[in-house]
Amino acid sequence: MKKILALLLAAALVLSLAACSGKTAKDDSKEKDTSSSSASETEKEEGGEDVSSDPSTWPVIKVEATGNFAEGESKEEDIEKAMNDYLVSINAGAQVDLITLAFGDRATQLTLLLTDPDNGIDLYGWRFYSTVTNLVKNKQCISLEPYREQYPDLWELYPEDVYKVCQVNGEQYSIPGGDSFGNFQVYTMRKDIVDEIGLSDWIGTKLTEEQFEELLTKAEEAHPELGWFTQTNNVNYIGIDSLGFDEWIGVLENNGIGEETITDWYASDEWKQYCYRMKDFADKGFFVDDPLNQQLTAASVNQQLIGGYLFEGYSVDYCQSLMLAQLPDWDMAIFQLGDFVGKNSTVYTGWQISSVCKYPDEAMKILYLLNTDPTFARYLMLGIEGEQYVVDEEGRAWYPEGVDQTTSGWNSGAAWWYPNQTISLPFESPLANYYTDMIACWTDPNSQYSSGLGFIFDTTPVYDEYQACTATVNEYKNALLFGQIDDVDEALQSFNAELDANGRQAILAEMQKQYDEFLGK
Amino acid sequence: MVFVMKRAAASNAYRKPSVKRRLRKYWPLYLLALPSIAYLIINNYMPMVGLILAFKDYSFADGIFGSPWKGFGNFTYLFSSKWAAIMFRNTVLYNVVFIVLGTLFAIFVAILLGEIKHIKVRNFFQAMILIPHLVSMVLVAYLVFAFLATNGFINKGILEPTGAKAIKFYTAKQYWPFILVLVHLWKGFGFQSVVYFATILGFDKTYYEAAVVDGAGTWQQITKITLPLLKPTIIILTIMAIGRMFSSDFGLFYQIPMNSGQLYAVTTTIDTFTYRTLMEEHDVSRALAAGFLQSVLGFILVLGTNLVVRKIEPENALF
Amino acid sequence: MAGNGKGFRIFSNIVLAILTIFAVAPFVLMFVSSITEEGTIMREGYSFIPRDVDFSAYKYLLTGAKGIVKAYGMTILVTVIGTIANMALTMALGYLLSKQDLPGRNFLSFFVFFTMLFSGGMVPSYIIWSRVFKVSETFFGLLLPNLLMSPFNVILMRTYFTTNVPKEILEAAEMDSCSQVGMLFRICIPLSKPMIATIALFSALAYWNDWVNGMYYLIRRNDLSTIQYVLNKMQNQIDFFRQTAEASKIAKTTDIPSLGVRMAIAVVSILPILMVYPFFQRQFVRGIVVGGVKG
Repeated sequence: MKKILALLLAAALVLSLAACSGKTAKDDSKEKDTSSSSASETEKEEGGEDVSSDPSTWPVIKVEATGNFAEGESKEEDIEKAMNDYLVSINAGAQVDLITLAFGDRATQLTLLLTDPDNGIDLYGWRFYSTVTNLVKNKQCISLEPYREQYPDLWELYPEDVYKVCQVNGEQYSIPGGDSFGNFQVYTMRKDIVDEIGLSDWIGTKLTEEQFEELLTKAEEAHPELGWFTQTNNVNYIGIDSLGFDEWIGVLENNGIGEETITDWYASDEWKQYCYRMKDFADKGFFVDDPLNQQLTAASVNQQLIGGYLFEGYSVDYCQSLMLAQLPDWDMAIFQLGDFVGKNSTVYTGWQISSVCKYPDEAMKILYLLNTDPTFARYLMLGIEGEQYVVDEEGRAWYPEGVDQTTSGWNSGAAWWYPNQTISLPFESPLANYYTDMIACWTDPNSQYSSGLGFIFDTTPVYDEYQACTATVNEYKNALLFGQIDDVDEALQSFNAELDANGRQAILAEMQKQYDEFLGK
Repeated sequence: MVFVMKRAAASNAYRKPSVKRRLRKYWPLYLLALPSIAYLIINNYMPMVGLILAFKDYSFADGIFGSPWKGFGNFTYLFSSKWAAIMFRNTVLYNVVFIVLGTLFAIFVAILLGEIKHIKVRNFFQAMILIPHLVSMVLVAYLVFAFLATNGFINKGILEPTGAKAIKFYTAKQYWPFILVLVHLWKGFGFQSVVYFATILGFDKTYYEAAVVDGAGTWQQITKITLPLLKPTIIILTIMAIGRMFSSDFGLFYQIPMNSGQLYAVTTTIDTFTYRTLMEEHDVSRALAAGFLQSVLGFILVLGTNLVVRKIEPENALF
Repeated sequence: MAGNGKGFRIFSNIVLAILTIFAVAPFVLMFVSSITEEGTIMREGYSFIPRDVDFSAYKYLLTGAKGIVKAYGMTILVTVIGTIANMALTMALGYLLSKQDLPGRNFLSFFVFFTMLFSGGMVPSYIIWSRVFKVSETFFGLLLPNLLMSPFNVILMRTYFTTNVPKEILEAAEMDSCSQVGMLFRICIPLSKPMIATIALFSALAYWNDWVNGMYYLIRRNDLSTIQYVLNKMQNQIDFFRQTAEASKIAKTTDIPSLGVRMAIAVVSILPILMVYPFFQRQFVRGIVVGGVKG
């Protein structure tokens, strides 16, 4: 019997080996495909646009789309068809197949799809999923360098430094998504309260720390039942560039502007002061009762739990329009707290070609069109004109009469999710210059950028130290930020002692070394 | 007890025929079980090939076999700080408490269920105590939150009306070992007691009838008949639980405390530590390495336990 | 148990009643919360007494999840087929392992138990099922992976057959030249009704509550979604929007009564089980008896 079982087991192993080596076979074919398609590429270069005249033979590129929030009827097929008809009309040489993933399950499903050369995914974005560094480390995407010559304008859409955020060792792996690439900190408060405490003059101005505290204190006196602060971890408010990491072990102070030294943040006086400040805020009752219950900020205003909160925006107009969209029932006043700064953390997304993609040339073509062809990209971002949206005389898009979020069948409100939202139209927003203002930020002389923009710290050499410190940071950071610890001094002391025991100095040294290299020292 | 001795004697007296004869006797049963065995091979054993990833640096582009080897490099992050001691201690201690209390409580409830003669009432109780087993830990986290939050029932409904000071549970770690044990029992006792109860239902009624004739009270029936008869089931369930000694219910230790940093000292287990450190990296290899280590350690414990059981009572050993 | 302890019986009833309250009370609290206006809970705290009654969570659930009826049908279908197949596989293997003098018994037991300890994890499982057996985007994606047989149940079944089926009866049957397979149907199954019903229940619950297979293997075929997958997807979606501040750029996510929907989801998914449980227990046991007699 044992023999039989052993045989069975062996058979199973052989089967699974075959299964997995089936992959290698596929890889071979993939290589073949690549070589054949790059062969056609060369032909193309020689003979101009030379694609097969029969669209049904064109490779189908699987493109990620974001699901509608509600579980209604999806119009995915209609939109896919519209996109494919358009691709035929411009003789693009590729067709698309949309794969709609819901945000909540997306991380898991994307991971699975990225292992699958047969039914995987070809084009996807990294926002809310991973970072370019990790994608490259896991080999989940391919280098886009070979296409730089063919699509030079793709590298000229945005400010130069922004592209660095999607590079690893100088190689482009992902094309950043269009955005303002910078924000400033604002505070919003219910206008009726601002009027009540007599500080209406300040509305729309930039507040100093003292003014901000006075605003909060007076508001609290008038409405002790409300909270005024929902998040205390806003890097813009604190004034640091976290370089895109949530752990803040090494940061650039002064929002990174002109900074060449990595700061040991948790040992700094600024951090200590901030902790005391937050403790003071907590004691004064500025925070909502339970910070662990991370309610949506806007929802908490509706529920009359808070009277104001911090958020970020690229222009005052934008902030105002956001308030109108999110809190139509309230008149909200906006106060500016900081200056416009661009950092790694304000480059929100990028799109790349997966490593299981069999037709990278065609996928690149689609990626290019999504970044540069408004007609094509708007199908994905807004849907079909007349069905999912209509355009008014000012160039703003709205739901058609009788259509809303639950019935439209497409998530038209998520242009920010796709490769280049700036070629879309403002959707359900009164702000006609929504995207033109966004683009204007790139050339505005007042826009400042962190010196660390584009510096991606590679944690590999200090991996274990970094993970150990991460665990310690998680233990203390939020508690200190929300002023939950009574003895701040003692907590800071043990926090720092533990970080040192876990190898913080090694991390900082490595970080500084890499940063120096980045700056070209 | 007489019947136990009789059974032991019977099995001792039983002499095994030759392997060939037994094979001839049982071959239809092997055939009958062949689909089940095939399923195990497909569903469980074939994916195990993936365990080699624990020693590789998984590359999505190159697949399982194409990825480069990495040796033990995927394991080091588990041992590089003071968290190693904390997470191993928490994982093992909570499991020991869960196994002991969980088993005792489940048997207790099973015996009580056996006392209910009215079938409809019994079904009602059974259905009710199974409900907690049916909901996900994420949902349980919100149930717990409804009790423990600053505006939760304990604070607003009990402490405040009686004039006591409100407690901020999610920042006070001294309460959490009890809370976690309580939540575990709450969620699991129905399921386990239903298993034990099914076993009790199958016992030969004549034992109890004879015992009543002999004048045995309820307590004596439980200790002299029910428990000895339950022993094989208890042993098997415990051995299976011991195999998971180094694993923990991720939801219980991550969702229930709402991942609150100040509770980490008492809520960090190997699974939550791994999750927190690897969350954003999609590092298949390192996650698998942690799982592999947990399995190996559990496996060693099980082999040891099974060996001891086999020495004492060969009939009840798992294998 | 043959009882003379009337006192103990009363005691049992009381304790079980208390345990029932212990098990159910949290759900009552949450049910009340689900029909209470969310702001009221935030300001005044959770309570067992309904205030400011508001059914918007249920409304949202019904309008938001249109495929819910179809998803119920799919769940029932996969649960029924899955449970029947699961029972057959579990009993066949459990019965084989229950034979004390079976050649290779220890090895086979070990073979089963080993799968409870070691697993290849999500990615290798997905590769095997999706690429080798091509279950992706089909009904089999819901049915086959992971749930078709649980090693835990096999071992429970084995233990039950060995301890609760008297050897004397089996030996007598053997004398009467009853076949080994015949013994399974004529003796073991009829004598093991409680455990078989229990295992069937566990298996049915596993299928009923499963959303993982939907998430892994039905990425594109929404028409095959089961109820738990639909509900779980919704819940994940809400969690995502709560935790991701940037995501609030999508207008109107603020209208979602997150807490209430969560509870409404729980109510919608638990209710059917509560309703069929007692019926299921009895009918199933009866079904086994009939099957046993016929076999």
